Amino acid sequence: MKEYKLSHLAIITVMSCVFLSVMTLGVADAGTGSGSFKKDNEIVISFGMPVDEAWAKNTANFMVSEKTDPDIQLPIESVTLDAKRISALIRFREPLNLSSEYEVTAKDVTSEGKVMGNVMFMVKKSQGQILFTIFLGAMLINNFVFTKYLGLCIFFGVSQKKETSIGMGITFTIVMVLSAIMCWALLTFVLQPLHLGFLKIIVFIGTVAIFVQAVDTILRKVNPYLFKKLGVFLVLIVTNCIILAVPLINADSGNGPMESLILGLGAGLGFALALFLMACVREKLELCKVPAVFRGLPIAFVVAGLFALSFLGFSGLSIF
Amino acid sequence: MNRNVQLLWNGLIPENPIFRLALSMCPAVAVTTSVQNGLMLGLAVIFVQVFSSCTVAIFKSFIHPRIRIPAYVIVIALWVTVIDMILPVISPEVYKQVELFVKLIVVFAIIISRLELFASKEPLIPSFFDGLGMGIGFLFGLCLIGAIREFFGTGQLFGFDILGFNPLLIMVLPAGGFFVIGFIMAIFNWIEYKLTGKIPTSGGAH
Amino acid sequence: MKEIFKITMSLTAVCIAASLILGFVYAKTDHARKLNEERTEQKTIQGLLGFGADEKAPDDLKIFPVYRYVITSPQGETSLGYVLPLKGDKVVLVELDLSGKPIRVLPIDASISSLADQANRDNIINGALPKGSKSVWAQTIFVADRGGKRLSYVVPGVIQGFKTFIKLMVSLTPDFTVSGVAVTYSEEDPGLGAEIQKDFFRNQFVGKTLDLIKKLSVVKEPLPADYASSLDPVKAKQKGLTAEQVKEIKAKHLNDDIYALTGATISSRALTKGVVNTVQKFVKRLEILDEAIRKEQLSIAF
Repeated sequence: MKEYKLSHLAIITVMSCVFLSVMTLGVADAGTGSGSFKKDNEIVISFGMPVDEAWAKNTANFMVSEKTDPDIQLPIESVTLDAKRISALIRFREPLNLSSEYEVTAKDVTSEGKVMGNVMFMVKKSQGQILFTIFLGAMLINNFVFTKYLGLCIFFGVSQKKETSIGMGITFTIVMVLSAIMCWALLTFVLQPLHLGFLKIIVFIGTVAIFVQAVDTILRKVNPYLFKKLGVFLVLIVTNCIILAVPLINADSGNGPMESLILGLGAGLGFALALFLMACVREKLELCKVPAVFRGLPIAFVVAGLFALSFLGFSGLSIF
Repeated sequence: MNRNVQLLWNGLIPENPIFRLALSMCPAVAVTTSVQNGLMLGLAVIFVQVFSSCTVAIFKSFIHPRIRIPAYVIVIALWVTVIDMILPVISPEVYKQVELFVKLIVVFAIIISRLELFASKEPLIPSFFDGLGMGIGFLFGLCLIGAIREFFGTGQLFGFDILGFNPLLIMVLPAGGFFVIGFIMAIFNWIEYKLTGKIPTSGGAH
Repeated sequence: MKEIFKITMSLTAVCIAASLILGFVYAKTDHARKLNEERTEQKTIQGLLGFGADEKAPDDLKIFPVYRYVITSPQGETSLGYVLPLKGDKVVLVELDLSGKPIRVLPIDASISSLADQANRDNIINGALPKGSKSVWAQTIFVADRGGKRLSYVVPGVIQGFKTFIKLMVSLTPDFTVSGVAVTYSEEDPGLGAEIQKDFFRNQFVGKTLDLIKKLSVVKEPLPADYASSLDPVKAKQKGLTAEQVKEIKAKHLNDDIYALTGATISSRALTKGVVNTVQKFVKRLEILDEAIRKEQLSIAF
């Protein structure tokens, strides 16, 4: 039994490592021609060559606007160069909206007295930061079970024992990630080109049902051991709201493939976490003196309410 | 008692989908911050449940037993999409509040379990009444929770100010929904204990 | 083999039947749904202008939309396009460069009411522009006109809220005093952030002039009791306040900042920031647009 638990922990660790490395790859893609946020009212841009201090000090040489509002110039307070005069820090009078994209145009960049022409910089959060925010949001801040109240049927059904809760959590996460990416592909390459958006519910649930059935059949033949451990949960997954909610949310907010995948992963791990926490409490509850009429589900609901209260504490959490 | 009436009654109290069968809890917590939302979603569920039950009861001999689950899912998804298109025409304001959950009726366990356990074995008329009974039971549950949460959480009912202050704000927060359902379930258990002298074990929840 | 064939056939039949029914219902309801959305929007605008069930909108009140597009020329330069209704139900597209100088004025061969549908409008605008230009719709502003005089502007805006984004609409008088704020979409928590939709919060913005809006901020103080009852028409009635008293209390608190909702400071700040941003951007743009209209001597409908 101990082996079994360890192997699952290993799967979780490997999966998180893979996705974290994907995210850090995303962070590294900032090159020349792009800038980054420093504080919430500061942007750093790098010219790739030393520029003249006198030119840079003149704030009129810089034009900054939100990408969606190119006609509204933001008031710049000051521009300061670093010691090597390669990168400039632009400070604004008002805080910027860090979730949107900004365009910085530097007019007539002057280096060693020579005018080099205009340079444009795109400034936005790096892909890695955006993905990490989505991941954290889906897993903790907007945990699908405790703040969006989804997937409750399974949540109360399989949280009696730690053992089963871990199995369910892992099976669910895997199916969730794969079906999120499949539904995204179907929506982008089939439904949207054909203007059949109104069929998305039927297509998404069909995809999930067929996928689950296929995994069930394949697992049964290929790896009977794993099937014995996880097979029972597969059937239940089709009636879990989260499995349909995540593709629908992806479709509504127009998420790309990576965002869809990360939202699926966050939702899956968030569900697994909720399941595990609940199972730990319910195992202990078995030994407690609960009033007879509250035994079983009623007390489980009250406990879930307490969990929901504590998850309110994550609200407003942001790292970037 | 007439069997059809009994089927209706059965869905309302003895096998109430929310409090007794403990199926489809997600909407019971999520949309019940006001009676109006509960009413809207409840009506949508009645529509889907009745139409799916009838469809399956009529066409059950055509559906191959091997593929009955995918076929049921498609039947439910069909009626859910239909109601999802009709609701915004009837009442756009309330639809905005319950939009995601109307779409999620597809995965409500109560509907597919009634198709599997009842409509796939019985003829059309009893299936209709079973579906209607379950739907009404669901509507009743949603409205009851919605009324309690709206009244204690905001001091209002159906959007009308009654108390003029918020007695217990926690009731409309996520946690409040869980508490209310837990307590109502306990009350149902207690009533049954008083009537039969037995403590019932609440149903398998999935 | 026969089994597989049979299963495939029956599943296909189920799917085809389902899609046929769906297609039929979609065709029947799609138009009604769009009409409903339009009607809801019109109702919100009328509500912001102070008309509703109690006070019917006068017959000579006309609401004109102004569509703003962001245009990218084949050379990659960005410009703005405003679709304006002219007198006599004609429409023009005025293209301005980023500093506000008019580039060109293009006649649009359609009536303003036929441009309400976005897909249709996008097609017409893209067709009118020179080849290779791309245009993206950015915003629709509404101008209420009564008897040839501008009565009010209704400007939509979007801001990141606590959970998802908040869509709002602000109505402004011709001298840029806020006359109403409506929240058209939000997913804030009921009981906490969702209170931004309530009268007592929204009405705090009403009466704020442009100068006040520019330096408006949010304070974490409880809403004074007299102010609270004057902001909510139902409460004012319960307390027996006369119209003069309400006016007096509002005037007393006119220079106050926005009082944050208890337990929902982030949502309160978000809506306030949304209103401030929307108003400031609109005022800047309208000055530029009015200047361009004067220069090009267009006889616009409002």
